[in-house]
Amino acid sequence: MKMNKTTTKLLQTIPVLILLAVPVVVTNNYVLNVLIMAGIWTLLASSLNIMIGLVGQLSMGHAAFYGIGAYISGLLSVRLGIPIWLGMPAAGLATTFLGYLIGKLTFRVRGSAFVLVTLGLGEVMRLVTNNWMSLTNGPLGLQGISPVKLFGVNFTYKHYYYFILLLVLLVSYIIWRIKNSRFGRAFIAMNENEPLANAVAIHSERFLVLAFMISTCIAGIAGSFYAHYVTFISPDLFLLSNTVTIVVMVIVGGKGTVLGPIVGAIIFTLLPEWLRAIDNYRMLIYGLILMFSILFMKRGIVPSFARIIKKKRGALHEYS
Amino acid sequence: MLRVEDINTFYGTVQALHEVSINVNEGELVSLIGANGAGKSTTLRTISGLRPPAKGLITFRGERIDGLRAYEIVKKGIVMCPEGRHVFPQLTVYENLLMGAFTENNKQVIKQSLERVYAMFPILQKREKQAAGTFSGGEQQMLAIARALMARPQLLMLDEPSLGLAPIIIQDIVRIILELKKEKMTILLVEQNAKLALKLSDRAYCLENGKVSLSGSAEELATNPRIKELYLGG
Repeated sequence: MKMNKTTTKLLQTIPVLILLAVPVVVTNNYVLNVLIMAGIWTLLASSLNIMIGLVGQLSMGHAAFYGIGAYISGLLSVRLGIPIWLGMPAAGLATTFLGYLIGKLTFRVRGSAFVLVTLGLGEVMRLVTNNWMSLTNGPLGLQGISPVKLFGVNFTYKHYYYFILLLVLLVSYIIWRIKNSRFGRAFIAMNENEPLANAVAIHSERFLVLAFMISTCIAGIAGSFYAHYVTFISPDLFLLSNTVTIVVMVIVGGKGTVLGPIVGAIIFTLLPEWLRAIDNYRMLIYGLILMFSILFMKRGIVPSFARIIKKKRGALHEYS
Repeated sequence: MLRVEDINTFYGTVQALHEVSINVNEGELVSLIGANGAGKSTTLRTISGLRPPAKGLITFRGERIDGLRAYEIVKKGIVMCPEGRHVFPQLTVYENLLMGAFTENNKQVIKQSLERVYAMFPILQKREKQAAGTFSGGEQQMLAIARALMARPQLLMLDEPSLGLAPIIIQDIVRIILELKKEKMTILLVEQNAKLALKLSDRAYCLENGKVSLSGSAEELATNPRIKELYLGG
């Protein structure tokens, strides 16, 4: 037993060590850029996983919170010269509050209200940022957001990489902790059987709102990072296709698992890059991979592989 | 202890309960019997707050509880074990039991409840780490009852605990209900198996089409010719 624990601990540390070593080996800025983007998508997929995977509510407006976080942080920087170290917490707090408001309103009336309101939010935000020229500079986008600077050091790709890696590890740890806590059990219970969860005194509305607040907070932080990393943002951030991409990452990677959305985010960030070479067939192959993974790995990549490994160890009959 | 007075409950426009009144005294085992669709489960769902009444009054220890939300009612000490042996299939036995004590923050109290429940259902302790979804029907029913007990109910409401179970498993469930009765646990039991219910309980109510048609002590009902004909097979 003890042996087992130390080996699993080791297995968990090895990937982290590899990730830490990446910028030492890889000096190509293009590769680092792709990895940083994968990190941002990982934050988004992991945070949406709290809704889709743990409490079982489909949020179709995740890109909206991402965009709002980006715009808050970006506007604070451009208009008031506020650095990311204040902009990021501000973005996180604002999206948390917005998550609270929307959750409070929509989880009371069930059914499709939540899906529709979140779906609408993205479109509303896109129109607002597109047309409020004096504030957001409209479709031209917001330029000149200050890059990240810490102790007088201007961040290079390497620094951004470590910054996003830190955020990803932190968020993954938080989600892992949530999953294995009293809250996480309440989330899973509500997802599996809500009337029964109510019958054991879980105030489901309150927990749904709480889950949504955590989820939107992380999305806002991801947006803030993006704004200060790319230093330019536009209303395109709110496009529905961004939300759909995040949903796909969660579902294909494996909803409800900590690792699933990470794997999904990495695959669906790297894949379009690799497929650039065969430009015309890019979307075709992308679509085929999506179809196959849904046909043959219904529960997602990570749970499917976990199943195979467990089967080999012969422990499947216990958990199936 | 529990007084239900003239409640009407609707499912949409369909009225499921018509002026139902029942009473449960401390330490009693009261059962609701009746055919399918008579309103037995609806009565429990109404008391537990899952389906609030349109009209009527429910009091628990003198305090009005109709209109409270389900989670608030559990906190008052009324715990329901729903029909169809519902457990959380992905969670382990241990986690399912912890869910039962969701309102309890004191770890010591939770530990004591857990020990008590394990003493009553040794099989659950043996399979503590197993996912509840892999259990057989009878085991799930035991887990569901055990989970309800984890909440330390003052009034335990059991909805069809024998439904769909093999006779040998029903014996186990009966043993547990009798054990709880001996400990003076107040129980409101819903059972289609009228014979079994009347054997176990002190008093009973018979529901027909959403109305209380008969009530009295278990012996009275068991010897009532109408009940005999309709529910006990002549």
